[in-house]
This record gives sequence, C-alpha cells and structure tokens, in this order.
Amino acid sequence: MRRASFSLVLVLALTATAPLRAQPAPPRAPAPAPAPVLTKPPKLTRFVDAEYPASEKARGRTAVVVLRLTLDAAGSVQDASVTESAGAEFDAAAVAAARRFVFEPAEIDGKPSPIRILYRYEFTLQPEVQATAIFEGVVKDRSTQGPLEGVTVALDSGQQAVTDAAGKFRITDVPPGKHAITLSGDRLTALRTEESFDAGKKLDATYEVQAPAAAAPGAAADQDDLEIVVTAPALDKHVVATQVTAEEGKRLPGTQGDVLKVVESMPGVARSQVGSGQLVVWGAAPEDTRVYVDGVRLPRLYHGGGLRSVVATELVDSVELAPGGYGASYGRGLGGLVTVRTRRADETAPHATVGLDLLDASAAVRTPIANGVHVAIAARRSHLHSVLEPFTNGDAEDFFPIPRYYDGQARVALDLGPHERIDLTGMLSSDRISRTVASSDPLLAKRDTRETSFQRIYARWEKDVDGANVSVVPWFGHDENTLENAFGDVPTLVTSKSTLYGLRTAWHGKAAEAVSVTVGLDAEVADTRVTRNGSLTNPAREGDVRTFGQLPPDRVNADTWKVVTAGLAPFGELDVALWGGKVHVVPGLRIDPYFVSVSRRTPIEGDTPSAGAFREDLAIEPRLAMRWAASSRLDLRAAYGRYHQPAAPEDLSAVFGNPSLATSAADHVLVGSAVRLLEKTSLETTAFHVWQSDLIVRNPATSPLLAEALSGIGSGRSFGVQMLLRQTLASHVSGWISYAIVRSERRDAPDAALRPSDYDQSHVLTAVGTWDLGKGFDVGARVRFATGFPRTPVVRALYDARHDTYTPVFGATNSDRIPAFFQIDLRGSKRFTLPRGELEAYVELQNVTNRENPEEIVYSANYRDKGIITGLPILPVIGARWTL
Amino acid sequence: MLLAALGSALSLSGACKPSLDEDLSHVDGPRILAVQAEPPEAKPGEMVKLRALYTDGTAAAPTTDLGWSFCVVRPALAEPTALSAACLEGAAGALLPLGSAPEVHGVVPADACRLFGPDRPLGKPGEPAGRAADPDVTGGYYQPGIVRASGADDALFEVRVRCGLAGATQESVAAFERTYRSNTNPTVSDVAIVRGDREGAVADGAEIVALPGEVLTVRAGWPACTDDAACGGAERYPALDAAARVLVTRRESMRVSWLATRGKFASSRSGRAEDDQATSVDTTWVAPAERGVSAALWIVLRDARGGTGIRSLRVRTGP
Repeated sequence: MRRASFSLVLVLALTATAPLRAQPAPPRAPAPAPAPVLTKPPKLTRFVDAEYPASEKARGRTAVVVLRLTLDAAGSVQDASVTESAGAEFDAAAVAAARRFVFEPAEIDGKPSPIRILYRYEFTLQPEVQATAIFEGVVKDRSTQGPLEGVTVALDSGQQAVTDAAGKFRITDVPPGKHAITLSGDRLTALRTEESFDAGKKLDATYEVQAPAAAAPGAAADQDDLEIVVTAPALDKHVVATQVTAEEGKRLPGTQGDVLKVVESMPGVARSQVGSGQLVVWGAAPEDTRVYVDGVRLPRLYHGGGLRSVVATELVDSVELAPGGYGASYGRGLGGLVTVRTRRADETAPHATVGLDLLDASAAVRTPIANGVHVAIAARRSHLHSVLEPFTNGDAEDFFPIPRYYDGQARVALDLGPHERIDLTGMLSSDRISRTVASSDPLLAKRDTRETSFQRIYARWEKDVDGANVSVVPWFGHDENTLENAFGDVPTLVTSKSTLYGLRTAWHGKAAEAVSVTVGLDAEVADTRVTRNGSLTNPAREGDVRTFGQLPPDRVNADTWKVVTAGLAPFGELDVALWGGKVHVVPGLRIDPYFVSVSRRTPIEGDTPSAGAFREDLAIEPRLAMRWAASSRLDLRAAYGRYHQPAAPEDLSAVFGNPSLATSAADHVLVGSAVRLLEKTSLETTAFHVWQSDLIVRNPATSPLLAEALSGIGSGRSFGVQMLLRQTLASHVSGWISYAIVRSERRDAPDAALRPSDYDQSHVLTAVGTWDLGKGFDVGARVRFATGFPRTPVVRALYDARHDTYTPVFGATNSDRIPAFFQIDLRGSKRFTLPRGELEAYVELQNVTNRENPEEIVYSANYRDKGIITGLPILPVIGARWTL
Repeated sequence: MLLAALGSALSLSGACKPSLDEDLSHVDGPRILAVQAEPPEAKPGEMVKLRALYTDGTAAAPTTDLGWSFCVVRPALAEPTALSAACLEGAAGALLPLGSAPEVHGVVPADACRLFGPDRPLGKPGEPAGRAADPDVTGGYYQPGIVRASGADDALFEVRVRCGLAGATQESVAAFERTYRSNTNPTVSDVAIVRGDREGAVADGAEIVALPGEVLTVRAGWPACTDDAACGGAERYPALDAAARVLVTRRESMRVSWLATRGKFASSRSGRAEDDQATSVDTTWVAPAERGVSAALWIVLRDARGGTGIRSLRVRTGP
C-alpha cells in the first residue's frame, strides 16, 4: 500500500496569534507591552494519512501542499487552508487529513495558547513493501487440457480460492515459506502438493489433473486414478532428512542461539566428545560427511572445539541433515550431507543484530542500499581466552586448550528482475587451539597447536523461467590446516594448503506431464600442497589402537607433496509422479570422473628426480528414491544410492600414505515411514544399511611395499533404525524426540574379522524442545543419552627400557567402551522490546544435574590403573542479543 | 556476565581428569629398572653385552635369572610398539633366545638393518623391495628385544644398530660415514647429597645415613663433552634432517630416572633437553620416617641415542 508522508516544516506566526486573543484596550498610553514568547511549540500527536488521489497516483505524480493550520488552546485543528497549492485533488486530500490532526498544545509564556502554523504535507509514492506472496495459476484437465472450473485450491494457512470458468485462481497475502496445497472439488478427491513462497513474489502454477468423465458410471470407483501434475515438483530433495529453520533452531537448548549447532541434536548424529565438534552420522567417520552452504562445499561446520558454527545465524535460513540416501545433486562423501541454505537478502529496511556471551561477540547487518540491491554482513570473534585470563593468571591455556576463532560473511544481492537475481558472497573462518605442558622431564613436555582456516567466494545466479528454475554457482576457495605438536622430542607437523575452484549448475523444471527433471553439473578442482613430518601414526586414524595421552612412536619421517584432484560430475534426476501424485519415483544418476595427480610416486631417494603419479577413476553413481503417500497421514519411503569419495590429499604421500589410492565407495539402502499423528506432529521411522568398500586403512603387512603405508583394502558396514517424533513450530511448542540404534563395523583387511568402528555409538536418544510462554519468555530443554564410543582395552604393559616408560599391550580392537553419557540442558530467554529494536537475554544451563559424564578412558603411567575423564560440570552460559 | 565467566572458568579449570599419578620412582616389587647394552650401538654381526638393573623390591641383591631374547619379526606399521605382536605373543621363530642370566651376550642379527633399519626388506619373488623402517628422532635404528623376569613386567630393550642413511644423497652418506661416531653409554660421573649448604659426593654403591624424614637434595651429573672425543655426557652427533634432507649436528638430550625402594622422590624423572647445556639435574628425596631402615636408591642416566648409565647408593635412617 502506498502511503503519503508528511513533515512539519514550520512552527511559527506568533504575531498572527495576537489577533486571536481578546485583549482589553489599555486605559492610557501604555509603555510597550513585552512581546509574547513561545515557550513550547505544538507537537503533532495524531497524524492522519491523506487519501492519495487515485488519478494522481495512477499517473505516478507526487506533490507538496503547504497548509496554514489554526490550532486552539487544546491542540485541535480549528481551521486549515492552503497557502501553496498542488492541485485541487491534492489540496482537498491534504486539508481533509489535516483537519483530523491532533496536537499537543503550544504554550506561550508558559500557558497553553492558540497558535497558527504552516504545515507542509508531502504526497510521495513509495515502493510497495510486500511481506506476502501472491499465488495464482490454472487448473487444467490433463486429458483435454481444458480448464477445470470449481476446483478449490487451499493452503494450509486456511486461505483458499475456487477456480473460475477459465480454471484460474488467485490467492493474495500468502505468508512466505513452504505451504501444503490441496486441490479438491466435487469431481476430485483431495490431492496434496507443496509450494514455496517468497515475500513480494508471485508464484504461477499450473496443475494438470486427470479428471474422470463427468457423471460417467463408475466414476467414483476411478477416483484413485486421479493424478496431479505439478509444474514445480513437490518431492523433497531427500527421502530422509531433518530440516530446521533458523527461527526454530536458535531457540533450542544446546545451541546458545547458534542455529547450526542444532545439527548435533538431529536424528542419526552420534553424540561427539566434548570439544571435538565432530559430526558422526550413521556411524560414518566425520570426514565422510559433507557440508555445503548454498551448494558450496565447506571443510567444516563448526569451529575448533565445536563451540560455534562457522556461519552466522543471522544469515542462515535453514539447515538440513540427510544422513544417507540423498539425491544425485551431491556426492564425493560416503557419509551424511549437511546443507545450509542462507537467507535471501531481500529486506526492505535495515536489520542489525549484536550478540554477546561468554564465548564470543558477534554482529550482523542486513540492509537494502539501493533499489533491488541488498547487502548483508556478519562477523564473530571469540573472547573466551580473554574472559578467562583474569581468573587464571593468564596461564589457562597451559592446562586446557581454549579455542580462538573468528568468522565473517558478506553478501551483495542484486535483483535482476522479478524472477532473476544474483548474489555475491564471501565467507571466511579461522581457528586456533594451542596448549603447552611443561615438564622437568623432556620426554613429557608437550606442545600442541592446531590452526585451521578457510575462505570462500561464490556467486549465485538464479532465474525462474516458465516454471523452471536455473542456477549457476561458480566458487573459489582456500583451505589451510596446520597441526604442530611435540611430545618430548618427537615432533609432528602436518600442514595442508588447498586452493579450490568449483562450479555447480542446475536446471530444474518440467519435462513432461508428471515428470520433472533436475540436471546439473558439480565440478570441483583442488590444488593442495602438504608438508608432513613426524610419526607415521600421529595423527591417528580410524582403527589405530592407542590410549588417550599415549606418547606417539618416536620413529619419524618427512615428506612434502602436491596433489591436484579434479571431479567433474554431471548429474540428473527425474521426479515421476504416479497415481495422482501419491507415488513419486525419483531415479537419478551421477557420473563422477575423478582425476588425481600426485607430485611424487615414491619417497625421495638421494638425488633421484621425483616421478609423479596420475590416477583416473570413473564413479557411476545410481540413485533412486521412492515415496508413496499411502494415505493422507502415512507416507512410505525408500531410497538407494551409491557414493564415492576420493582419498584425502593427506593420504596420498609416498612416505606416510599411498599416492595410488583409489576412491572409496558406499551403498546406502534405507526404507522408512512417516506418520502424521496430528496436524503438526509426525513420527518418522527409518531403517538403513550402509555398505562401505575400498576404505583406506593402514597397511597391515609387516613389510609393505614402498609407498604403500596405506591401502584401500578396508571395508565396513553400518546399519540400524532411527525414529523421530517431531512437533514443528506451532502452538508455541516445537521440538523432537529422536532415537537411533546403530551398529557401525569395520574390516581392516579382506580376511580380517569385523570389529566395531571407532564411531560406533549403539544408542543415541535426544529430546529437545522449546515452549513459548508468551510475553517474550521462552524456555527449553534438551536431554541426551548416548552409548560411549568403543575403545581398545589395555590388557597388560611392557616396560620400555630405552625410554623408561610403559607401553600398553592391547586386547581386541575396540572391545571396550567409554561409559554412557547422559545430560540435561536447560535454556530460558526473555525478549524485551526497546525503543529501538529488541533485546533477547538468555541463560543456558548445561548439565544441570552436574553429572560426571564420561568422556574418555585414561590409564596410569604403568597401565595398572584405569580411570575416566569426565566432561564439564554444570556450566552456565549467559548471553544477550540485540536486534534492530 | 562476569560471574558467569568466573563460574565457567572454574568449571573448565576443574576439568575433570582423574588422579592416576603413579609414582614410578617408588620400587616396591619385582621390577626391571633399566637395561644397558655395552656398547650401546653396534653394527650387525657385532656382539653386545646386555645387563639389566633388576630388583625384587627390597634393598637386598636379587638372585632371579632373567630371560633374554632378540625379536626378529618386524612390527606392522600400525603396531603401537617397537616389538611386533608376534614377539609379544612368543610366536614360533619370532624370538632369538640369548640366554637366562643377569647378564648375557648377544650378536646383533646380520639382517637387523633390513628388518629394523633403512635397508628395504626383500619382497616376495617378483615383487619389489618393501618399505624401509623409519628412524627415530636421532636418526637411529634399533634391534628390539625382550627380557623377562619372574614377577616383573616384561621389558622391551633396544640396541642401537649402526646402519646407513635412508633417502640421503651420496654426499650426505659420505659425510655421515666420515663424521658419525657410535654412541657410548653415558656416565653418572657425580652423585652428590646436598644438606642445607653442605654438598657431599657419594661413591657408587656407598651408604649414607639420613635422619628419619630428612629431606635430601640428590644431584646427578655427567661429564661435559667436547666435539672430538667419545664421552659419557651429552654427545654431539650428525643426523639427517628428514625434512630438509641435509646432515645437521645434534646434541643428545639427557634424562635421569630416580628410583628408591623406600622414601619418596619429588619427581621420578628429570632431564636436560637437547639445547640445555647444563650437565646435572637434581631432585629431593624424603627419607623414611622410621629409624634403622635401609633404602636402595638408583640413578639411571639415559641419553637420546639409547645409551644408559647406572649408579646406586644406600641410605640408612639413623642415627
């Protein structure tokens, strides 16, 4: 709606007020009376919008009308006249509005008095602020392509419209977001689909419905054959996935307002050790799960220590975890998939957020800067080390590592048209954790520093064309990781620096009736330089037997190598809707040829020049997803997918690894159901089985061949069932209860027995919920129970006479476990409305029962005694966030 | 906010590790305390004398024989010890017996540099040679062995083997052969007891008298070394810098283990890092509270290249 604006330009005319006052005549020639003094100007307390003249508005004309207003001693407008005209219609509208103004009275010489003022009324045409979307379209008979009249198109918001004779419908003021759409009519059974709406945008949809012949005998019996074909496909991208919006996620306990932390509480995710920040999904190794933001791969989701995510909550729209069986658009990982969708920069007014808590400080701004141009900037920096310093004499980091991190994001978004836009985004993140343990024994002195950083720049161009959507995302990045430690005189250094180039394109539209198509390209090139020296088994990898704090072997070596990895994967996916959309079959195919070039095939031998190695693998990855809406409340689902993952550059060393490693593979199979118990309450159950092959493991041979310290002969499997009972954000309550029973096993060689993997966590139960109490109060709770990760027991010890230490002799690999974990966290927050913006203060109490939660098994120096490292005791985290 | 920070700081610093400190300096049962090879570094085929410092946990001289073996099976890359699983389990052919006695003589196996050193192990027929073993941080390779004593933990011992350099240029190999001097065992040249301002030297095996509960400072020293002679102190030696692939001169770090059958040492080990020029370390020992008891104290000095020196003394609580 267009509005008129006004401004008060003049407060005056004291002399003009004099005639209004009944002044008795002086009895004799007086001395000049003192001039009256305006001690308080009138103040407009009620403004009335003038009605913008329709004809002038249609012509796009603006105007200024200057009025003379006469106010009485009570502040009411007694008279309004035009002193500068803008035309009869503008003048009349301005006068009519001004007569209804109310002022706080002016005061002359300290007393309320009548006054006459000039008032400038501006008629300005402002761009419409659209907070809602428009939904319109047409419903056709699939057979005849003729319009269908009388079909009710209803949204889950309660809005609905009935198609006219031309089959057209229109619904305005649709709240943005995803909505369920129902088509119904006398001749139709109710059909459901789903659409996403963006504020200020119009969604045009065409629904083709296979309707039975009118009044034909047996028509009712044929209703099951009704079919709906939706221009935009309704099937979710992944058969099993948990998506949480930013608004919901940041209110959940355990997140400290950081929406991406909610992934740790999602079903299928193991509870990782405190401070690790690892994502263990369905028993897969953390490095097997991929993280994408707007289709751009990030090396990690969390800062070191897992305290915070690497993307500001203010820029996040939603986060989704697909633990397995995901579609053809993504690959190059054997485990789960985390996709973060950032918020569209489409604000009509500036928004700002400032946050502060024990861990860090953050700020974010989102604002339009010109018509169709928006900017968003966010930054965060940790200060935990500074906060702790006064209480620990500055030596806190000598005892426990304190993460130091910062991250930042910036975006410029341009609207190129009503259905076309381009975003340019930059992201950076940096982490450092350092710890030093001094000792009078040189062997026991420890120094450990880990630094990681990444930067990304990407452009995202999107366009909607005739019901199809096309997107192109070229990106560039740089990753850097350094691990440097020294246990006694055994040094370890691993540095890797990668320059990355990527391109993701996708076209998504309708190919035929009942068939929609996604095709695209996912390309990534990584140029990595790695330097490593130290012990072969430090850092440890999955399957290595060791104890916490054990000194690494003092056999050392060194290598420097370069790896160029390229993957160029075209992918395609069909969404075939059958039986009126009740069944969706989504076959997909991804063809991913890998090219790997390693600078050195064998270790350095004297002056012999190095020879490189080149490897080419072709990964054919079929994917299939199926969903059957068996009833209005029950969905049945199944999926299969094959996935490949190239060897990490760090594994391609001729000294520490194997330059000839091939890609590892995994096959995911899952079946499940989703039952809608209530309107906003659902129960999802999924059973899964993952087979992994060609996993990279330590070469078990006592005399492995040259440059074969690692070998792709490992295999594994994960299987289990997960359940999710979820209440989506409604009725002031949201949250979920998830439970997973998982078995994850590995085989280190073809003839070896299966053993539990390092990431096997049999039972994980998470209950998380928030309750909006009203008046700005929110409370929430999170309850977690998890089986401990496996560990290899020490059965006896051997005295090492050269080092004067004890060396453990291990039992069966991973045949022991860390005891189970149980923790309750509470969160309370209050939002205060301020004159400018809103302030949210929150407190999170972690581990409210102060339970001594087991985190790791440790042994005494001679391995005769065994103990448990416990996690943090009850920990309050207080923070505040101001939002404009 | 500050209170929250304080609470969190205390919570964090209160983290959360169990107290499993084992006083390894306290000897209260049968135990092998050290193994000394003489010479500590030998070429394949050369003979070495092996001697273990063993105690039954009393101040009396023990009489148990020790069973000695060399291990002749290389551990897999991922095995966490220098001793292969085959040797730990006593698999057939994995151990080369050296005899049962407090001291034995053994010949370093001729293929030690191929099994545990820089010489690449021979592959199966038709296969190329395998991966060489990695050296330790001093550039050394070691022949492992195991010594067993009744009632005590088995002990892993290692004899440094004089092998070549892996992956070095001819020039580096030549320089190494020209300048490298095999290691010699370090010597605890001085042991002194400090009581207040008084410092008294103690001869090897001598007995001193201490008051019950008296706190003594025990100091152990070793000779200062020059560059051009074998020495019982921290020697300099050439080593191949694995990263830069050049020869560098390094200096041995020195570590002292303090052991006693009674009383209590403040720390079980002390040492001097490679860049620390000092030639002694000290610690304190608290005598037993009882009168008329005798304690055996051992001071074991180890250098970074596998050499070992041993001194002992007795303390009787008096007067």
